[in-house]
Amino acid sequence: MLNPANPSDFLRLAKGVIPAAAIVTAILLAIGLYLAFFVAPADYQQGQTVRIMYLHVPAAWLAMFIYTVMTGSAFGTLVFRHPMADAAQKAAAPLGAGFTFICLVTGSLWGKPMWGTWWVWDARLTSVLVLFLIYLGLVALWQVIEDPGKAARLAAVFTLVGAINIPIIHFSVVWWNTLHQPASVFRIGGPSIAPSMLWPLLIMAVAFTFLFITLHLMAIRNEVLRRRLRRLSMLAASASDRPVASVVPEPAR
Amino acid sequence: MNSDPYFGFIFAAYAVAATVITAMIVVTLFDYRSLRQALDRLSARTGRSAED
Repeated sequence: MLNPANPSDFLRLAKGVIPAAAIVTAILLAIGLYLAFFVAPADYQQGQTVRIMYLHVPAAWLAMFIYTVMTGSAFGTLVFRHPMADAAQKAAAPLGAGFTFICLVTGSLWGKPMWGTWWVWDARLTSVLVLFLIYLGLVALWQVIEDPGKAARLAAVFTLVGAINIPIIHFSVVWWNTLHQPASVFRIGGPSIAPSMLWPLLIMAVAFTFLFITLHLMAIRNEVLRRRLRRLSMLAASASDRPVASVVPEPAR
Repeated sequence: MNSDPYFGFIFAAYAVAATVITAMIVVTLFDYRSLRQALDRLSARTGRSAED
């Protein structure tokens, strides 16, 4: 049986899972976009602008979900010292930055016609901007530290410290007065969105999640290959050094 | 929908998302291809299998 925590087994597993996940993503995205544009009605107040929701909300959910995945990986790095946890964490950070960027830009493009402004420094928007900066910081940290083990441990500590921002983002609309609307899907008393809009939103959210799973598996596979390349390069370099060392004269006694 | 006064905002939102997602896919695929090529070159030079 294949063990995904073993890098060689992971590569074999990824070979079959990545194409399957990509196909599921494409089908779900096609269904989600069709429902979002041709089935879901325009909002009685926002008009057609509500269609930005089908991008903005899944991107926002993923921005937080990816960070939660990274927090789990950070535990794996610090507690179990597992190299696959390092790879999962490193692979997720740029994807988290990408989805958070989509969330911020689509939010701004939705905010201008609805709120009359591109940006306000309220709790929800600011905490998501902080999340984006944390993602960029983690990507930079991995780039500047050459030793992958040291980079993984530092990134894991940084990730765990930054995890405090996730509940702040989630509860920001409850704790403070914000321009951003409160939760309308996951709330006590059930969703406040009409089913004709809720279903396309949920399908787009699942599609985005599968997109992340596909890209994350691809990026972890790249990390496994990068480590293999680094190890083989070091072995090749040490092997080519050996004959040279043998002709170096011994120091005078 | 094209006649909506805010069509430009909707179009821009989807265009930005499509661009970012496409960039993430392309960068990941390009990285994979270059790593594979580097591993193949190394294994050809050293005679050691890249699957080791």
